[in-house]
Amino acid sequence: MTILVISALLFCTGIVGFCLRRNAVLMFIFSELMVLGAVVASVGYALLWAEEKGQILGLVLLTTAACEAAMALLIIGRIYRTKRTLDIKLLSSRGEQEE
Amino acid sequence: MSVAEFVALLPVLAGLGGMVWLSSPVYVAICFGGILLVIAGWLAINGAEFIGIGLVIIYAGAVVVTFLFLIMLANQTGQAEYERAPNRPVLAWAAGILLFLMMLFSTVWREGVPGLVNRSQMQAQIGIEKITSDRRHVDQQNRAPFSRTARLSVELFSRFFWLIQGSALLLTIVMMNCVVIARLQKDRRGDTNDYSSD
Repeated sequence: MTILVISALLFCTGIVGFCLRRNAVLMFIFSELMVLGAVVASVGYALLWAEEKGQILGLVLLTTAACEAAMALLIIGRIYRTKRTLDIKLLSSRGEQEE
Repeated sequence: MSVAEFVALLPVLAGLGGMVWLSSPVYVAICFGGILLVIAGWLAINGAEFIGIGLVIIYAGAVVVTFLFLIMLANQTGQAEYERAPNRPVLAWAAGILLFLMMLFSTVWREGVPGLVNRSQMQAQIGIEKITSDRRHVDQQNRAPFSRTARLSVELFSRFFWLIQGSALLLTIVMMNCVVIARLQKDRRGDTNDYSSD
């Protein structure tokens, strides 16, 4: 059961950090923390039920998280090169002005 | 939760605290890497060695290093006003704590609440007997000589073969996508050098 508590902690800290921060890179790190919480929960249930399927789900989640990280970091890098800031509030207000 | 488990949990708690309270993105990324290493060790000790090693290689070895690379490329020092000032702290903490309590209730505390279907009843309804830690240990011994990792690989390349191939295809598509986006950027800047023949 400890592993499920850890996964809940990881996911909820990810939510708190995601809501607290305004830096796009940090927000993305916290979203990765949420994915890590999901991976730990699936592996935790696999260990709890002595099944391999949860570990396979965890592996697929890891792959998806790696893909997501590659794409998101590329997009964030591109935003920084064009706008010269990673402040989400500033970026969204600029977007509204452009519209 | 035993004392040993609680002691093993302390580095994770410290890392999570550092991630939330430190303002420098570099330190936050390093705390994230530390949490990953502790979780990987925890999983390896508890019998999920393959996922533990995967976490170290994929997350700590690739994703965190890419985070650090981007942070240094964007020169993020943590001194800017928007990096230090929290965004809606009350709402964020309330949402996090409420969700954590709900998760604890649905996974750990639910067993003792009268009137709710608990895990044992659910297992009985779907025809699965309760698996105790003793039973797990005996099961694992009976399945020798294959280790857990060997059993996992057999499952991966038999029942879940197409799932793994799909994941590999997804990774390839993402890699090609990244190359295309990077080349689009280069073309827009008017850089006419062709690196494709390198």
